[in-house]
Amino acid sequence: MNNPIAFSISNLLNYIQPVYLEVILTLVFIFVLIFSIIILFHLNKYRDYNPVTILVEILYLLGIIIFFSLSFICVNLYSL
Amino acid sequence: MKIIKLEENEEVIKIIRKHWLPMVFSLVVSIFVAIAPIVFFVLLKKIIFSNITLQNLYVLVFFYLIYLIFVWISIFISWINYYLDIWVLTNKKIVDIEQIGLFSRKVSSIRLDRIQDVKIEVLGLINTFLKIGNIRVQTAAQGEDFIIKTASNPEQIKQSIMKAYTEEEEKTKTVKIEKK
Repeated sequence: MNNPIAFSISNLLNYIQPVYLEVILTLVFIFVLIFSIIILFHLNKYRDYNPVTILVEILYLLGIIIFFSLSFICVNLYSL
Repeated sequence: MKIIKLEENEEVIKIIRKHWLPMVFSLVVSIFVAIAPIVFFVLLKKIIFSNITLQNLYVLVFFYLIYLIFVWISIFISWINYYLDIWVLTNKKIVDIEQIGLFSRKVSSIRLDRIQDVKIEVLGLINTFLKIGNIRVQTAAQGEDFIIKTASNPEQIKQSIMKAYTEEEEKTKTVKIEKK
């Protein structure tokens, strides 16, 4: 016998259209872009006192790029 | 970009930061927050997610990745709070720069000749082993003490402040005698 909660979650997920995910991804991208500019501005502010900043910036951008790429791949696979 | 504007003949002696341990603690918390949905999914897989298809899984992974982006950003906001919270000790003054969140900063300074006392507080076993403590610089103005919490190596910082203070005082005395 099927679990009714499990069934409803599966049903709910089936209702999500690929275009919704694309809209969410775009909105998050805009938000992250604004935040990234602020974060990078702050990190650059006092660079002359600590060279660690460059590594932190690279790590931050690398993480963001990886997460966005994977999200994009997910949306594309879902759209298939 | 310079951290503070220096006066004539003013030199930066030391940049004082907080100890790395609270930052590591915050990082560990963030890792737990990042892993939590996976644990939740694994534990409740048979109860809630039993009918899930591969297509559904893509949606869940998508939302999890969006969640991870926010966790990732929060880690770097913590880093900025840690990294931009500093004390700058110069041969003339101490500048306290406190970063509050992403958008607020509090900058206050005190001249070395206004210092009355420097106290350090090392509480607990871990703090003693890792040399973590609070430093309080008492000033002539009431209620305007300088406090840096969880500073790294407070004893050494206290010595640096006292040394700078003594040198500044000696200089002032010399100038006064020369004038006479």
